[in-house]
Amino acid sequence: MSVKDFNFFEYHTQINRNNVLLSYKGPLTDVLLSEFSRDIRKKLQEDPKTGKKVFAIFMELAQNVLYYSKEVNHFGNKDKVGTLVIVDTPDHYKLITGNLVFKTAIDRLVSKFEVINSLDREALREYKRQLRNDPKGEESKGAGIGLVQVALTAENQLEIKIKEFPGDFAFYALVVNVRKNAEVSEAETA
Amino acid sequence: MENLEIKGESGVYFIPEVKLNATSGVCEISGESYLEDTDEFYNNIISWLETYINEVKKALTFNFKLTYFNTSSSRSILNVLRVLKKYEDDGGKVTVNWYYPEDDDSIAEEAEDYMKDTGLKINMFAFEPED
Repeated sequence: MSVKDFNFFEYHTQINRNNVLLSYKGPLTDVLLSEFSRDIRKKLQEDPKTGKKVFAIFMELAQNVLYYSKEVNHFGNKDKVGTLVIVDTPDHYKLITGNLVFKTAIDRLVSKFEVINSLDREALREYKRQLRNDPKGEESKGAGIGLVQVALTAENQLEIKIKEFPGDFAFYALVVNVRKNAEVSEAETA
Repeated sequence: MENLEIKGESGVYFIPEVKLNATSGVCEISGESYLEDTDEFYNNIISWLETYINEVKKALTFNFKLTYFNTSSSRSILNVLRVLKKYEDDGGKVTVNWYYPEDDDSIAEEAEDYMKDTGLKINMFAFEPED
């Protein structure tokens, strides 16, 4: 399964040829996250509508990494470790997050993305409402609907990439593309 | 009964401005909502509302004027609306006004979804954000 043999390092080199708005790998804290979010808003001021989408998506994705990453910095406060990247391509803003997950979580993750990507906008809204009405999931510190909201805001499919390592862990990357100045036609996604 | 006021602030977290007025029954939440402890923040609002409903028993108007909220806050907002709906079902007079930034369809969509979820009537108004 190609989705499970992802070379992040090659990918990272590739995306760095574009205009990088943010590229961070390391321990994540809420303080850093708010600094990044302010920086993103400043950089995307000229296209406020798209900028707001990128900001909102970034916040959900970064909170997911902060809550769910299984990589921990053993110095200091045992902060979660993750990768956050935003690149400015000619047509899109590309948001990429990466973090370690347990291999045992992969199938659940992949099927969650399959469900999200199979739904059109109306069905996604319905799915979000359904999740929001359900009691919180066991591991969910947030609303558990972050990824569904990300798909709604991006008006685009989510790409998931996984690289399994020997042992218990796998690297999990998520790529979200936000079209610039998108006057999105509903017909296209159907 | 005392008013509840929380000063809005954009620091490490984004705290929305909250003004709940026990005399007029007019409540407003505005700004951005991304919080360290979302449940705790909104539970304060909910318990204020419950006290108002039990003690003051007069009309309630709730104005939402948020320009950004994360999904965690969206779940809590649903809980606030459920309390308002219950008051309405029990005979209380409830008005909910939802102001959304004119360039933000997603915040308008949220109100539509909340109406479906709660059965409350939500009046929607576009506004031009200041910044």
